[in-house]
Amino acid sequence: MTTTSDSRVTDSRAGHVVQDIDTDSAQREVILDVQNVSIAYDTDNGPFVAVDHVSFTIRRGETFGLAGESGSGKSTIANAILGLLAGGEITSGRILFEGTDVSTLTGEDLRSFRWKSVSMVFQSAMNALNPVMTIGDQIVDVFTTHTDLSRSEAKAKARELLTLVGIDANRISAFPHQLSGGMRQRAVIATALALNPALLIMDEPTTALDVVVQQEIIQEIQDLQEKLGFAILFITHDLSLMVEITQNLGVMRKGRLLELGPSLSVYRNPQHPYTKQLIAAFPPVSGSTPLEDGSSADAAARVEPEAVISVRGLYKAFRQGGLFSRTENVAVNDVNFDLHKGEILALVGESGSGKSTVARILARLETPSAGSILLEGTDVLQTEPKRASRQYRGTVQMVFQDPFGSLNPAHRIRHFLERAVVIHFGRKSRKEMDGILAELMTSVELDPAFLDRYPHELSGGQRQRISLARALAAEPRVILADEPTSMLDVSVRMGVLRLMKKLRDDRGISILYITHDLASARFIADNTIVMLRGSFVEGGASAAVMDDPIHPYTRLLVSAAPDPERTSRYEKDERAKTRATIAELIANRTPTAWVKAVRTTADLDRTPISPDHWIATGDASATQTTSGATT
Amino acid sequence: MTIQNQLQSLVDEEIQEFGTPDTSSSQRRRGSLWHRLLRDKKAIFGAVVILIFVAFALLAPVIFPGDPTNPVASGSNPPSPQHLFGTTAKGEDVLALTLWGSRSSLSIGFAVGLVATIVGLLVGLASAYFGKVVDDILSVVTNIFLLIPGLPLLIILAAFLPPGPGTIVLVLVVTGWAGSARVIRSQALSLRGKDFIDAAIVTGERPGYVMFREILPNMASVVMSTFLACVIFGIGAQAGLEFLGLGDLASVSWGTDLYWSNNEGALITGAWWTFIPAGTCIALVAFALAMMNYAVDQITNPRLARRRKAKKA
Repeated sequence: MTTTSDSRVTDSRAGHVVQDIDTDSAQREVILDVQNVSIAYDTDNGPFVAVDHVSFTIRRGETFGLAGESGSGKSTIANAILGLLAGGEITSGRILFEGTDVSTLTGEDLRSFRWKSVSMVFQSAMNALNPVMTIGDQIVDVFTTHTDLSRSEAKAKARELLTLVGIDANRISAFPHQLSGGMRQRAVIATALALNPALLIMDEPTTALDVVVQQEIIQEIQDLQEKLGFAILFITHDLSLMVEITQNLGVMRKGRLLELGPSLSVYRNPQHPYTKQLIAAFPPVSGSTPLEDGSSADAAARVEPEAVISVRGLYKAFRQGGLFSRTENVAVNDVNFDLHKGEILALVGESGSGKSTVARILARLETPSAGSILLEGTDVLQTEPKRASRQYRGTVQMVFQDPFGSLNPAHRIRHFLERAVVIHFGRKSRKEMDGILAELMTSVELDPAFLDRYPHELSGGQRQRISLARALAAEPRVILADEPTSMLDVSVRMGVLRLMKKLRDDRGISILYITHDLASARFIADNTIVMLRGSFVEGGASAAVMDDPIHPYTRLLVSAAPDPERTSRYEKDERAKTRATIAELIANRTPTAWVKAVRTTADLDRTPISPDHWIATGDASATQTTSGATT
Repeated sequence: MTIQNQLQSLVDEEIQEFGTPDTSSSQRRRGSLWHRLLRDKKAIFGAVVILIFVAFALLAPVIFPGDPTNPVASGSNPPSPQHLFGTTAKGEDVLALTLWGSRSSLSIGFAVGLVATIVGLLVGLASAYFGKVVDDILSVVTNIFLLIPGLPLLIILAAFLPPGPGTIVLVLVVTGWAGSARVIRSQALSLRGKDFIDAAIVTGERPGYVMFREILPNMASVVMSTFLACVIFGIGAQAGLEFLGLGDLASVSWGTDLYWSNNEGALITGAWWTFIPAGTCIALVAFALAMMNYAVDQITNPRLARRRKAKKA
């Protein structure tokens, strides 16, 4: 494949940048031709143009990607192809599928078109499946509605399909809630593929899933595509993932197609400034970090050896069940770490790994079952066991994940900052307060004019900056950031991360950065610790951990992070082997924290690999054998 | 993704840029609960009816000076130009009794509503905010009061306590607060789980501040409809108690009007004018309050509002 910066042309009709289409697939027949399509929604304030003169084609067996943020119109196009535009209307152009204009289809033709020719996989598998029907029945329904198969034939077909997407055929009578998120999405894919459609539309099919599962599903889809030869329209905001799996892609923003071309050459050589911005928003997990400001390296040197917060033997179990059957769910199991002055420490793990619980315990929103939190040598759980003192609150602040939930909708922005100042520094005169608030707003790069707005008038990125400003108002020494960017649009994500970094650099604030995204951890954090089912398994300098992962779980995580430049695939059976090893490690783990007294720094159960890289002692021996096998 | 979400995110993107706020966006803010209530037909209807009754109650001494229980004519006259609503067996003017009666009924009804809502609010908020043991204990107490058959408790309490308006209010609050505590607790519980409450705690806010300044403003509509429901309960239950002769029979209220009407054999003699006015007033006030309640619900519950919009379109 050639990179084609010189051969780019500007499509005079649509006005977007076009790079040469991938030549491999160029000979194949076009099955979907979107010609100059505009779509408008009728709103109270007149028509709203959601898609503005967009043109692209998809060839047989090709994977085409549409990238863009929320509101870019990418899902609207998908809905238009299926004739599912509720309240919207195609105002210009047409969508041809195998030569037929889809908007002319009605009644029975449309019904059969929707499943036999084009089918769709939605983002949320739980909502796409009917909770009161078994997954088998839902697939059987597709056959009995659209084909002449009898129920028993359909059932046999359904078993076949489930096996095809990697679900045990015996689970045919399982209900959706009995399946994991990944399994459910596989079941949805099975239903979508039931009638062997020529085009499969996937609207953010893996966004709600953990990275490892996401990678598995993506590989499953690619294998199926090789076998069955359908084309895919893949919609996502995650550009790295998209480049990895698509041949051609289009970048959309505010309804307009900005750039169109072969995925890798768009990624390596973006032409439109917005595409560049999008690509910059996803730093790769492997290789050298493309840091234009180069702040990471020298900042790491600035980390001082003095620990602000030390956590020893932290253990948290949640009680479940009622009066008679109590079970304990261990969320955090014997966790030990030091957060140093001016350090950004990332805690990485999948959902359910207990990383957020660690942050909530440090924020004193949860009380640990055992263990100690040492703030400059004092065990705060001993000195203030019930409720955190205001002095503690003034030292440790938190930024929450959901920018739409963490600001009380009933108050103006001024309220949040003013309260924080009043609580920690007492009442001020009107003039003095205005000065302090303006300074806070400026420090998070917002106009002080926002102070008199309500939260709902602000965008997600702006709200997250307000949350940061609120935390800063207490002039804390530690900020706990619980996935602060995971719910933000990609283009503002980097801005918030950079801001956090800047606050560390300027004020020497220590940050505990909780995330599931390895790439962003590598980008922002000096040190990274990987968490699995409540325990730390590996840690060290971010680059060391991600370039040379030792623990099988870390290896799995690193391998699953979307990487456009990936050349080798993590093979299925190898992955299964790794998973088995990890399961064994978890099973062998002993819940010891109850009996352990306050730990000393010397005893952290860590086996060093290099000066800035360690792995959990309990897992070290088991790992040596597997790492020998896989490398 | 629903169309609404899509459109909202499209709109959101318009103010994506940092730096200065977009001035047009502040006009998009939905009006407050009060502003929207003032534009709602049902709410206006309810408010007007209530205001008319309040006006009658206030003006009763002006329109009918003197004690309304003084006989003004011979007994049991049907409505006539002199006595628009007729007279009772004792010769009292029914219109005067009805207007004077609204004073007691409305004031006790609103007092019961207010006190029961405040008790419910305190119990519900504390229960939801502190959780665990506090919630367990308060929930048990609330459930006990919910489960105790209301009418017998009312009768026993009313029979043992000295008669008077204070007793009536006390008795009705004791039997009426549990329902509102239940509703407020469940609403507060869902707000308690929101990040902004945790965020306020992390900022360093004390429990009292979080309960009343962070949680409470977000449940104005629930508190309002709870209050209205408690007022309806108060007016109805007071009338019921007094009709049974368990209230303060020396006072004049719609309940005592009904009690005397029944006592004087109005149903047997066919003196319909002695009980229809009081009964109609109770029904009208309850209806007006229910309309306001309905309007609050419709305005604050987006799902109902959307359905209404869809119907119009």
